[in-house]
Amino acid sequence: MAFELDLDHICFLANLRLPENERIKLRAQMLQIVEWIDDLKQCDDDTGDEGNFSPTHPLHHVREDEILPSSKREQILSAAPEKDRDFFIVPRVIKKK
Amino acid sequence: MNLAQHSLVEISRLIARKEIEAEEVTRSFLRSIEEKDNDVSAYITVLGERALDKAREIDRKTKKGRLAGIPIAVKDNIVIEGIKTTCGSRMMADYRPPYTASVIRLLEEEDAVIIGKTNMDEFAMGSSTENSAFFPTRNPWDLNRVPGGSSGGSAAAVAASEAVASLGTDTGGSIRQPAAYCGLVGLKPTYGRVSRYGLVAFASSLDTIGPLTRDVSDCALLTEIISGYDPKDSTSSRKPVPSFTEEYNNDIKPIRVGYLGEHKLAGIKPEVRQRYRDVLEILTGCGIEIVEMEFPSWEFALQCYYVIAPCEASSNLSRYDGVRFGFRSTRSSSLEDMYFDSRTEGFGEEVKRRILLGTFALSSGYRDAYYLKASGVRELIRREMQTAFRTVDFILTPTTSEEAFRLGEKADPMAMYSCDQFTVVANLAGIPALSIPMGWSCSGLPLGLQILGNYFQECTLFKLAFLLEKNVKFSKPNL
Repeated sequence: MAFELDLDHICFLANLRLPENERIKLRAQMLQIVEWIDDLKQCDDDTGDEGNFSPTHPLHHVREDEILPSSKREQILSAAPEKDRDFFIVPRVIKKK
Repeated sequence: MNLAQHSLVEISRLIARKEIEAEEVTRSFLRSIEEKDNDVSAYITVLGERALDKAREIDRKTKKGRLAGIPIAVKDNIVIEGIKTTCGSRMMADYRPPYTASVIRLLEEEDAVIIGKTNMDEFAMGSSTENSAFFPTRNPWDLNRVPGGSSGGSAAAVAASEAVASLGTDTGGSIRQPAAYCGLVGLKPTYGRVSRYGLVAFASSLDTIGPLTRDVSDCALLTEIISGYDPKDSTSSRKPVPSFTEEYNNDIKPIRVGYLGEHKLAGIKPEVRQRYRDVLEILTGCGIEIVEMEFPSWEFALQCYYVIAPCEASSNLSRYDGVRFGFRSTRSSSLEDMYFDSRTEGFGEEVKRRILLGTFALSSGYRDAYYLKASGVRELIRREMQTAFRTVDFILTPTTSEEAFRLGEKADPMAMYSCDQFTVVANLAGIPALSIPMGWSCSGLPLGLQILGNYFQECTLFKLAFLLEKNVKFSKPNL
């Protein structure tokens, strides 16, 4: 299929910000890769509506709906780049006027 | 005593008979790391003191586990509480997990000694270990060549006798390909056979954990120990785990083995093709029926994989935003900038490429054409494999199309992706696959044979592999 590679938009969706030289190189590589994976359209998969693969099929298990021990707050906070008591600290979200 | 010449099972017997102590074994391998790892660079973190403490504790025990005193290396995307787990990435360079992976718990319950965390392609994305943010690992057979990837450090550690065995992970071939390049046995188990709790996710429907070992009996033992249902992994199977170690050297029942015809081997190196044919002749000589098979869907397997894996990666890696763990950029003044800067500075080139590819394939207007189409092709591959396994019990292929390549040789991403041409099928279908050494290249480098089996048939995989191990001559040619 014809595709438009709007790299700016894709980077925005992926929360990546690439410098111009990287952007040029990556765009060329991605065009080549996407053209290659475009070959998939030649495959007649004919698997119909039920064709979507599920890796857990038929491994659907559920457990009892009961609260089980989980990680402790202080353990999780121990990996934080910046914290204050029980909170992760991040740059201010709401700007002062 | 030169422990480098001994397998896991042999060292385990020496310890059980008290001919050697666990501490002496651990010290021996730590010395080996000290002597060789400057050249090989298999390890990111060596757990010297922790390993020796564990070994001394084991020596004091009267009742010891099945892996008592065995130094095992672990790929650095499998977590151990409090121990740096980097995933080969700047994003995780200082990350210390608050919990331990189930496979580690199972190994340590059997008194294994975790000797270190091994180098890998960043977030398991790669086929050479050159994508590590820290340094490349080198193939012990030729230090100018790659060990394969992404479990290159795990493979190199065992091949260089810096560990007795190791754990790696396999999403598209990342255990089997380095096993082939380094002359080892490597197993990708059935999806759901081994718990993924504690494995840092790359592509959650494809990721598996498995062993890399010197021989089939070691692989059978490690697989038996790490397999089984885990309530902490919702994709973990409740199927009972057979005793691989009791079964693998029993006679294999009459079986049929599928193989690829010459036209399917067109792009691979002549010496790989020749060795593959030699193995098929050996099997015929053992009275095993071989059947030529066709797999039309395999033509699209690589493209299918390189849609699905990046799509899942783009979702899994969205958690790395600098907020709760991992690298945070210091130059950001707003929250949004922090997300962008942390991810841009924290991830390497290949990871960014795959995230962008996956984001594109899932984006509005393209999801049906790429991701859903790839899902349909994946189901076709799965059904084709199931049809094949009604005719044959196993399918044999070369693990790779060539010997280990030189560092820097495959700078083009698509050249690197082609390394996975024989291995991705097993991950897409969820079936088990084993790589064993099948001989040597003209350059004196190992070549691997891949055995594909049906779901949860690891036991019979080991039986065929053991038969091949006994009958295929792997003696190294004179240089």
